[in-house]
Amino acid sequence: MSEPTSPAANLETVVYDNRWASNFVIATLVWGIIGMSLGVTIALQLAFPAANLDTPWLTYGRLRPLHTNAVIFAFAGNAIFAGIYFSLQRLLKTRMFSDKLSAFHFWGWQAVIVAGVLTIPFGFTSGKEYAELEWPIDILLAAVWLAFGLNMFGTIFRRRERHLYVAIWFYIATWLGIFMLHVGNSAVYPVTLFKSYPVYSGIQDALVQWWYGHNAVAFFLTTPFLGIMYYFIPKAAERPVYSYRLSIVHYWSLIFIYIWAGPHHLLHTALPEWAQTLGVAFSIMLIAPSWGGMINGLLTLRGAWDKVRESAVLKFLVAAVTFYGMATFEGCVMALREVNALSHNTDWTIGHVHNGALGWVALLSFGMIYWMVPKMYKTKLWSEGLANLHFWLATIGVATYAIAMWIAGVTGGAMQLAFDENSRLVYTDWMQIVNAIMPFYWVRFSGGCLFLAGMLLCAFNIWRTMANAAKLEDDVVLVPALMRESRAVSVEIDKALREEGLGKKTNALHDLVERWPTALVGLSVVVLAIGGICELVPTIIQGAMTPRIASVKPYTPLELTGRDIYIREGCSVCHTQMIRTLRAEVERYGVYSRAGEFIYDRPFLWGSKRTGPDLAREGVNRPSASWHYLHLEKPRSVSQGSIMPNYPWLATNDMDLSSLSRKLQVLASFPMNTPYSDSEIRGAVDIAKAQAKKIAAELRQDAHFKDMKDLENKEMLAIIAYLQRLGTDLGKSEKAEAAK
Amino acid sequence: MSNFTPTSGDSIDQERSHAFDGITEYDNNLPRWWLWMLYISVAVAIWYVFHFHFWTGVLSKADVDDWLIAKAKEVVVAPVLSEDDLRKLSNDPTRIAAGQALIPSKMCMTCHGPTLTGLIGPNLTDKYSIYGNSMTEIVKSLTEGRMNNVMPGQAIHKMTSDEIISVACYVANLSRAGEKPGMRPQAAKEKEDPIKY
Repeated sequence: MSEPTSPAANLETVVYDNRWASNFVIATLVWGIIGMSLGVTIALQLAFPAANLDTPWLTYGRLRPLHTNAVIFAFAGNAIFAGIYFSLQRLLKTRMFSDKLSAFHFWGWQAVIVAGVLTIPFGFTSGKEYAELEWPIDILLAAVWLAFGLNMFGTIFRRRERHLYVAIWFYIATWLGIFMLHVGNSAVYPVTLFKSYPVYSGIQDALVQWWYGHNAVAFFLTTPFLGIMYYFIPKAAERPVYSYRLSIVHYWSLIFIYIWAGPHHLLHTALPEWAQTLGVAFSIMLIAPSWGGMINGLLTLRGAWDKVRESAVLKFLVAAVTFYGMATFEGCVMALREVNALSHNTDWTIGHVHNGALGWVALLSFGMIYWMVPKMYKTKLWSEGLANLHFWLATIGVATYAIAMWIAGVTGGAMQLAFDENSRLVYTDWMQIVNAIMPFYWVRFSGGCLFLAGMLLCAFNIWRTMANAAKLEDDVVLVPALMRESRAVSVEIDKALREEGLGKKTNALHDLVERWPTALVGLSVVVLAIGGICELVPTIIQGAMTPRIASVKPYTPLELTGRDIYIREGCSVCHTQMIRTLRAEVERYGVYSRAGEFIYDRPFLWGSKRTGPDLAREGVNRPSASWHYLHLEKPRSVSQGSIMPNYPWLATNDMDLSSLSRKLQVLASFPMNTPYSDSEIRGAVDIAKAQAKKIAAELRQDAHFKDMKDLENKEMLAIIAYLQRLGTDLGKSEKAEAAK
Repeated sequence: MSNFTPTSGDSIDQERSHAFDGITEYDNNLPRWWLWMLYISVAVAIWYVFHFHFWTGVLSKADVDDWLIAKAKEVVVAPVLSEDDLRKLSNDPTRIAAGQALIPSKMCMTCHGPTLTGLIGPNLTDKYSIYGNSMTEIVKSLTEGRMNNVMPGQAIHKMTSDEIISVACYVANLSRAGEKPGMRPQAAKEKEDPIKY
């Protein structure tokens, strides 16, 4: 059934490689258990802060980025590669291009993840969400991605199937998209082996980050899984795909529109309003392409619904696609300015992410694994009953999680915005908000536990299946060789295709693109790049022209040291530094944040979640050094019921000033051009020590600190200096103007 | 799945002749309702740009700026009450009750303890005061804050001047009601002269 008009072809033997697909499955399960255990751990830490154990590498701020990386890049990543390595060979009737590249891809990817595990909890982080890995690991990741690309495109080049099936379009978009995003967002200037500063600052860094962050969701958690859906649903249901035409329309519209929607992560911020509006408008338009994928998946099951009752595989696939539809609709709603004012920075966002990550990505991966492992091992699943139990644990788990986070998110968001009849904030004490949502943190924890329990059952079931099977062997099949298309044949094929296309020109045209991978790749690159270029270039230009606020000065050497500690500890995981242009936020925190205030922020630290209050004007609102000292050392000593971890080591660790001069030098060099003078760069350490001495003197006025020795050398003083500085520059300009 | 079945005429369920690893595809039309969703979402997106930037502009930066300007004009200077007036007010039961009602939501207990007998902040029921034997000083603590806002001022707890007076009345009345066991007075700081309101 290959080419409609090709003459009886010679048969060739193909050996499909099962080893690396199987290895990727095993890695998916192992990292899934680790990543989800981390998730359950940090969920517990929010409800029960003593679970931070007063240990630096076990605190929430450091484990949360590890959790997100482990689930996205380790669990979902390996699942993607398992699905691609299994389906690509069979769709193209050829073995993977190179076994050596497959091995390099597999081990290289695991090395990237292990490197992440060995750095992120120890405070080596870029501070940018879902891109925390420091620059040497970023380079390794890029190399592994290139190897994966070479292997995939090599396989496409050697194919015995003229046409590329829709799943492969999505795989190609995945590779292109992630390569573009990773390189674009990782533009940093190294300071040391484990520390770097991004070349972008402030609003530019924010836009680049969320162009990346939003589209990592698109091209790592959506397109590859749509590809997997297009292979595994028709295979498992043994039904034809509902509509080829829908595949075409939703593929091109999805990859075109997705890229533009990034700014919806930055609504009401200092980002120019035109860019925010583009983010909203494209998010509204994103619903149709997203649902195109969902209905093509669901309608493929027409005539197979009876099978869903018995088959755990189909249950997982159906539930996954349904969650996909729900999460994408939720995403569009949350991207509206009116909704976002309430939902942004709350637990609703966390719930939304998990609807996608657990409901769509994980359920689809489980369905895929339960189907492909018995196929590869030529056996039956060890226990269909256990797989069904897993399905119910997972579904109830994610539903519990989502409902808890919806309630917590809406409650917390509404309490932050609530005004009384006299237009004054109703809930001025942050602890009122924390206390109100605390019960739902426990519910969320229980939902996570259910999901993790299912994950453990899955690993056990697959392990038994693999262990009970005979040795894993490659699949040997006979397939027709791909005939060289002479011009005459190709004209004939085109004619046939046009007739088959029921007179529709678009189908015939797209048929051509599908047979010509270079065109498919080239067109995809163009469609992918447009949105990014249209938003990033003007913002970078506009950013360069951001009205300077005369009183906004670069951080002092001590403040910079403190800022890097703030990044190391992951403070921005729970604290935003962005007072949005909303009345409630201006009332609560002070004048809204201006773009010009962030021009020296590398990276930007606006954050995306307010588990604690915003800190953009902390220096104005809470200038006391002694309060910060006590609060950081033991938050509950000054703020009853606080869920912030203790940071006792900040009071005992000596500041590391060894690379301080180099840091200033890097920041002063092209293209960052921070105005540090030569004497500041050379004398950075002395300047920092002098400022620390001043803060120590301020602290010693308080009896509590009077007899503390060596106070001025501790990390605590650097982070206090940074917190005291936050948001104060803008007021200085107002005072200066008033003086005039 | 009847809900999902597209309008008749859309699904002709004719298979294309290609098969990929046994997977075939129908050449069905785009479901009509999906196509409408696409058109409407594009229209709404375009409408939204005009709605936000040219027509109503709700929740825009300009919106907040207007509100800030209006608010700045509204600022009412609260009448300054003399010490005697304050002490007279502090015997008014409605004032005291109003002050008491504000305590749980205004962060007082975080530092002064759930019974206001002191935690990291001083005991409010004893007869000693760090800032002297005067209600004016209590009002000042609540308005301006103390020690760099460790004791938060109006900027943080956002009470109105009137509410501050109510809380001051309640606090004055606490001392009057008699000392409860709690944090001991800080001898070095607090005046030895007990408060007599």
